[in-house]
Amino acid sequence: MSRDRMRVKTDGRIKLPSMLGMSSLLVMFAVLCLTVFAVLSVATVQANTGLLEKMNSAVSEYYRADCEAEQILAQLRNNTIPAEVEVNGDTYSYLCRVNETQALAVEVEICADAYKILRWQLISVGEWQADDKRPVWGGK
Amino acid sequence: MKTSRISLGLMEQVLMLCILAIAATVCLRVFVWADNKSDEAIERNHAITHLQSAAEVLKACGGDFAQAAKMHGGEVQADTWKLRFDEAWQQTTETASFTLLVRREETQTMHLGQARLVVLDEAQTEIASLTVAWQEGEQ
Repeated sequence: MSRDRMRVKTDGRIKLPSMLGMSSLLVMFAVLCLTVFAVLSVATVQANTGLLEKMNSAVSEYYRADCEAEQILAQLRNNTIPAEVEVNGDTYSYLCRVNETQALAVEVEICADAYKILRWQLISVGEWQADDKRPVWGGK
Repeated sequence: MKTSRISLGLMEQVLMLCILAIAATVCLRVFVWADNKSDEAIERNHAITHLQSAAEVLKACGGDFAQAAKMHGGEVQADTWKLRFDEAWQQTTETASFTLLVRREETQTMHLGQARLVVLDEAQTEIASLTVAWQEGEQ
């Protein structure tokens, strides 16, 4: 029966198959494309925002630790030695935590009213585990 | 038969137009939201960068606002150092899109100076802030 529909009619005209549903397919394709692009933009924005927030919080955390270190130094200059400070003669050293993996290591020398900063360094304090899942060429 | 097929086709067209219009509206809103979020994140990143610069200049000048303004720009009014930025985050003396304010804060500890740095947008909403401290007196 359907094959008959494709055939030439008795009056010579070729009858084409029904175009009903083609526009539906086109619109569905367009909606699919729009949805995919929308999902991609949301994913990209969230990834970028997450990365920028991590960078910004790293800066904020550093300055919070820096303020803490300056406060301890001011206390040392006022002849008050906080508990976390290690004393070695005229040299005082202490650590101010920045985050889970970093800390600010400070070493100062205080003589009477004068002070000299020997070390004001951001160091890594987190545990580092080597990733040996893939073999790395040793050079030989 | 022909009439019902034509009306069926028309109904399909109308229905598809409605679906396309709804999908386009929703997706357009998502695109606009994504664009706004991206702009906000970029603004905050610029703000933090400029806050960091101002903080380091202030520490290097030992908390002297006048010297910091001479080195880094901006104006000093009483206990506040103000820097103005345009939309491209370039320093300007005219109407500013963003303002960086540095205000001295009182501390309980002698020899310690402290200030709070804040970046505000045109609507005076805080975008980012930092607190910086320095040693006062002779080194």
